[in-house]
Amino acid sequence: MKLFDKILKAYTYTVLALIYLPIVILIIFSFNESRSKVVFTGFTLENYYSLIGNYRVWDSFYNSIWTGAVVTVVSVVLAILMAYGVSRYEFSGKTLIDSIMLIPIIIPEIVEALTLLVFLVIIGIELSPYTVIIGHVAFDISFAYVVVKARMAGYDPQFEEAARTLGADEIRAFTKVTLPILAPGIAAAALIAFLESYDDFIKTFFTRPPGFMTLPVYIWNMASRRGFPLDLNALATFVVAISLIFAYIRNRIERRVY
Amino acid sequence: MNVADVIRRSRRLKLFIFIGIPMIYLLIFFFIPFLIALLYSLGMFKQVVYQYHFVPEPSLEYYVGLSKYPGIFKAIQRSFYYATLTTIGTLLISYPLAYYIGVKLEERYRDLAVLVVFTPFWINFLLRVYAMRFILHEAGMVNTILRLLGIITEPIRFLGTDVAVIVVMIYSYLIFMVLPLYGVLEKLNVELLEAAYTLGATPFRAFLKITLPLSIPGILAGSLLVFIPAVGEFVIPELVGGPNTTTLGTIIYSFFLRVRGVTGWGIGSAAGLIYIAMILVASYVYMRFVGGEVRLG
Amino acid sequence: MSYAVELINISKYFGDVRAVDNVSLKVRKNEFFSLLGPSGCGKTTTLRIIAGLEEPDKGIVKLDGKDVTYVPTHKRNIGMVFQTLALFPHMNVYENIAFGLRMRRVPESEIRRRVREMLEIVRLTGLEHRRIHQLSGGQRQRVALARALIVQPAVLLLDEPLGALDLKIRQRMMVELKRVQREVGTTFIYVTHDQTEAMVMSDRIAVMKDGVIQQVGAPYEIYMRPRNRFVANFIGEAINMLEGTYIEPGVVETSIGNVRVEGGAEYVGRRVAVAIRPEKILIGEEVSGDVDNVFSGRILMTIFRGAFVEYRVDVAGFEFIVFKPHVGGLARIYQAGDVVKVGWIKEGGILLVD
Repeated sequence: MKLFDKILKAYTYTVLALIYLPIVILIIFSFNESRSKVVFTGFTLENYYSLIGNYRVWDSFYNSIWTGAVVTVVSVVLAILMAYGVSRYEFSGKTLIDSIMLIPIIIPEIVEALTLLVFLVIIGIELSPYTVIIGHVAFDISFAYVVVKARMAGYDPQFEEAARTLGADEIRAFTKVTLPILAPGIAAAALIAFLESYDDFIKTFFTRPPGFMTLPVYIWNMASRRGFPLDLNALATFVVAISLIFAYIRNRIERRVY
Repeated sequence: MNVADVIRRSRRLKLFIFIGIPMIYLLIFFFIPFLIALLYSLGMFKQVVYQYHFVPEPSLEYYVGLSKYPGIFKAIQRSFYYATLTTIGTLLISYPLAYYIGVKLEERYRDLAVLVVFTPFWINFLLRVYAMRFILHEAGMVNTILRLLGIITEPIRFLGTDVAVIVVMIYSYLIFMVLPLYGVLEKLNVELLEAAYTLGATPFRAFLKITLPLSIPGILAGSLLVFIPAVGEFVIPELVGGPNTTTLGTIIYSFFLRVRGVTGWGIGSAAGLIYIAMILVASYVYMRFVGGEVRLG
Repeated sequence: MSYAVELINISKYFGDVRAVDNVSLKVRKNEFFSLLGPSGCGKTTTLRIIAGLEEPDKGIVKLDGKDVTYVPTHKRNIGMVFQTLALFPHMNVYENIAFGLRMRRVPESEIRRRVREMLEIVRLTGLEHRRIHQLSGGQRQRVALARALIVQPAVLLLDEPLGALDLKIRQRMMVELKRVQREVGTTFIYVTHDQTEAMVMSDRIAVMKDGVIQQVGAPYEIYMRPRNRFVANFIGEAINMLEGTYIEPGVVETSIGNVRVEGGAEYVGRRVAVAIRPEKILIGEEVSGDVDNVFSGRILMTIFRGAFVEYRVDVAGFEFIVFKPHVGGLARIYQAGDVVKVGWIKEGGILLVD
């Protein structure tokens, strides 16, 4: 039994190492002087200089951030409404609505993307950054809803009742007590909504106007060429650094639970 | 009565604000597009100049067109083949990992371990695929190590083959299997196993009779979370595959973004809807076969 | 004089369940009033109707003589201490207590002064900047109490607030609650299933069962003169209930023989019960000539209970429970198998007819 546990432990560490390995190699070779993928011939920051000088990267990054921010606000507000309604009120069809909210998570994105594209074209809406936002909100509501609702499930309605006995009307009870208590859950939902949008490739790719690029679309454009552009390795380092910051923020939010 | 009082006393109005508004959004931008795409794939929208007109005469023209597309049946078969192997692969790799973290590892380290597993998956999907392409190349790390170990003399051409696609898919989808499995295994009551031991079960039999049956909900959820998107995957076959790794996903992709035009889109929509229909049937059959209920999240 | 709280024929249904059934109640000003009953008896619903957190299906709620049946909670000027306390976790002690004054838009300087006063009354001075999760159970009770009292409510509603506390702290908090109530002079309505809490603190108690009020009275009254079998059984630790028939004035025929009772001549011919509290039964040498009811019995079991001894005594097939303080050593305690006399004076028996 002891031996078995040891094997299991060694196995786990091996798998974890293998998960990290490709990314680590990619980053290491972003500092490589030559184009070799195996031998580190010498340290250089050349790839980073070319990355910094590449305005299209920053343009794409900027697009990712601002569309992501808009998507986050809209989808989190809609998700809070929905989660609050489902947690607080009894009505027929509640379980149905709850399962409907999961559909956008389960349906493969490529199908969501193509149906939305067909729909937009049929009703004559021209593709723009806003069609990208519309598409992202449609699946982000569900992601945010799942998180907010999970937090609301643990929310005791007595907090709100207590506020009312102390003289708060329903609206103030909600804004002064319910919202602040749910704040960590809402922050977690917002972060997930933002990341789903920020990281999205497929839906953006289908619903964007020509020339409009987000970071993932830019990465696709570079990666789908046959070669191995070295400044993509440098970009990878940048993206990984950003992701680690997000992971850290998420971890901090998760700990702030009342 | 002021406005606040009206809202307070009207249940219907409250329900409309809370449930109605988000539902209307989903209806317009999620569910109606499916309906429109269905009608579109049945040739019920005709383009006249720059306007689309609804024609209430369904035809199967695009579906026939799809069936005549060279290699389509092979591509569908391949998509399911990739997805099945990816599901099995992620399950076999994840189970011991999730078991170690969820059952064997001390409780106070579990959150950290999950964080360690999860973090790489926060990095953009395309970059992870690209990283795999970087090390699977003929002149890449994998080939070099195999050659140094004396296992091969000539570099193996991974890129463009089924092996590359499947390996990268397993790598990319692993987390969707690990998390649901961890979810059920972490809740496993160790006293159940100890009870089995006191009743004379060997560790192996206790695993077969207790742990495994109790992890079925996790296996089910994980399998669906991996299988459903895997069937339609197009990024990985595009980036690490080649002409011989055409899948349903790459076909949809090229009809929409390479061919364009009404016919291309019609056939592409047909392919998308067939994809949905197939995975619905496949998931249903799978759930009936394994039994039990699926719990998400 | 108007009452602090008046309920007139209140009924409340949850689906088919009658949670509160035609309840009428008058609570006097500055009274410590308890609603006592087993879980599911409707006491919490009654309290929530007074608070305005539930709307009654029938009946009228009056606070201070005014009909408030359809007035929303936040306009009722009540205070409430919840079962879970519901202290706001995102605020510290000070902010929690100040909340009600903030809602009433009281100037900040006055809030500071009143919170300081309140902290003194509940003896929490110095803890105003603590977070809720840094407080002990007893301290949380005090914060909840202070938060509800600071708005000077016409009536304070308490929904089993001591339920989660350890026995020792609970005993201390009972005395504390009573002290605060005297000090601030507010009407308290206290919901509990624990009769000790109700007995210790209340001026009057209403015993509830199945949504119906069974009896209202001072603790002494409901203990000594329960109106029906339910109250007799529910109040007190145990009771000896002898079923029988009222055969002639002053005499009830039971399975152990005729029992002399006080009064009740109008019940001749009816089925009645005679209930005797365990501490009112005399045993052995205590049974002297002027005891009205005397029977011979045999000790079945002796249970040492600390402050007293509990005997189980068999009298012609009926098992009496008897509580006796012990004045001497072990030798004075009867043991199983001893044959003893048991008896009680007729005023010690309670006649129940329902």
